[in-house]
Amino acid sequence: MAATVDKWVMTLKAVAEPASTLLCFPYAGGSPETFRAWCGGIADDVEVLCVILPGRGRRLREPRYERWQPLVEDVFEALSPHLNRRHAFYGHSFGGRLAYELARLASAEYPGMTRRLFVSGCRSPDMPQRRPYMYQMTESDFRGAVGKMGGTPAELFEHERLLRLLLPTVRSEIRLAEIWNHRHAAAVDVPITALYSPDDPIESQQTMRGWRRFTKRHCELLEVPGGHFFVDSHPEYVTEIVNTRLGSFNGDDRSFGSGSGGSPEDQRD
Amino acid sequence: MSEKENPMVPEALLAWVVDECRKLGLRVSGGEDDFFEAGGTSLTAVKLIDRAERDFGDDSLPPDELFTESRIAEIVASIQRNSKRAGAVAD
Repeated sequence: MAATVDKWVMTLKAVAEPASTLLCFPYAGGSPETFRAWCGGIADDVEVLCVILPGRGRRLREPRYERWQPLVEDVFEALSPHLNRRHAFYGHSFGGRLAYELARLASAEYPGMTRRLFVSGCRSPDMPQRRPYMYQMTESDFRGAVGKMGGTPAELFEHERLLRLLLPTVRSEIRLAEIWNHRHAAAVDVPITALYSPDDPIESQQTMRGWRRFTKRHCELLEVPGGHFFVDSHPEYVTEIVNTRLGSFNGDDRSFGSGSGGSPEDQRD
Repeated sequence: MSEKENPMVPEALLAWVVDECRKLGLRVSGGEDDFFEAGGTSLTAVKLIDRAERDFGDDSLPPDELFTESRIAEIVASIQRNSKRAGAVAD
């Protein structure tokens, strides 16, 4: 896997002539490996790309974004080479918020090309954020809260030097998630698949059912097992849902909802 | 690969880094590969740093260098530079 020039986008699954491209957005402080682990389970003709933000991986030393607008604008520009063909967005938690913002811009600029928005473990834009804000916590409280969330390997907490290097990005992305209050007037012209886990202490059916108000199209709310980090712990459930939804890329959007991989709660306004 | 060999020989060090990365499950074949593109994470970074320190001494692979200069050849250069500076030759 030779180094590539594009610092914004990591190709996790290359396809010569993809039927569609799945653009993935990890959770706060997350890594592309979440989505790489899916690749074996994703349909052959679907290309999988992951967005790499400043502050992560080899972009560790680059200045992080403090505000949503420049972040969204810059990611949109970086993704533009991939948006003029059929694509879908998948984002988890913080990444879900970002994926929604990108789906808004992409569907307006490239009509018909944004086939679906997947949001998982991510409250709808009209839900107030959880309190107390993690980003305002003292360092030790913040570490405790991150540890309690799960998702961070225990070994990392034994490496003080590494934690000092990595946690500022986690805090910065959690801050962006916590200050997010975008209630765009217009709903997106993209069907939404929203995934939640009943075992997730952070998000739930209640915090996610509002997504139906943010699309002009169909919205489905699906349940998967596994807690807040089900994208890591239960990839097979997620990839099956993704595959069946992307399978309708070449048809219309009526063909899903058969309940594959989850229990659909169809919601139409 | 044994730590008894001179770790300062770049070829031997390159082989060491490639070998350790593979043991960590990364798809690495040579110096041009990138640690993160090959599947590296914070956790595999911790493990690689631990193994470098075990074989080449404390601070032989500083985390901030691994994260920002993440090509395999750059990791080799970092270990070379820092194990020299620390004056640490394994065992």
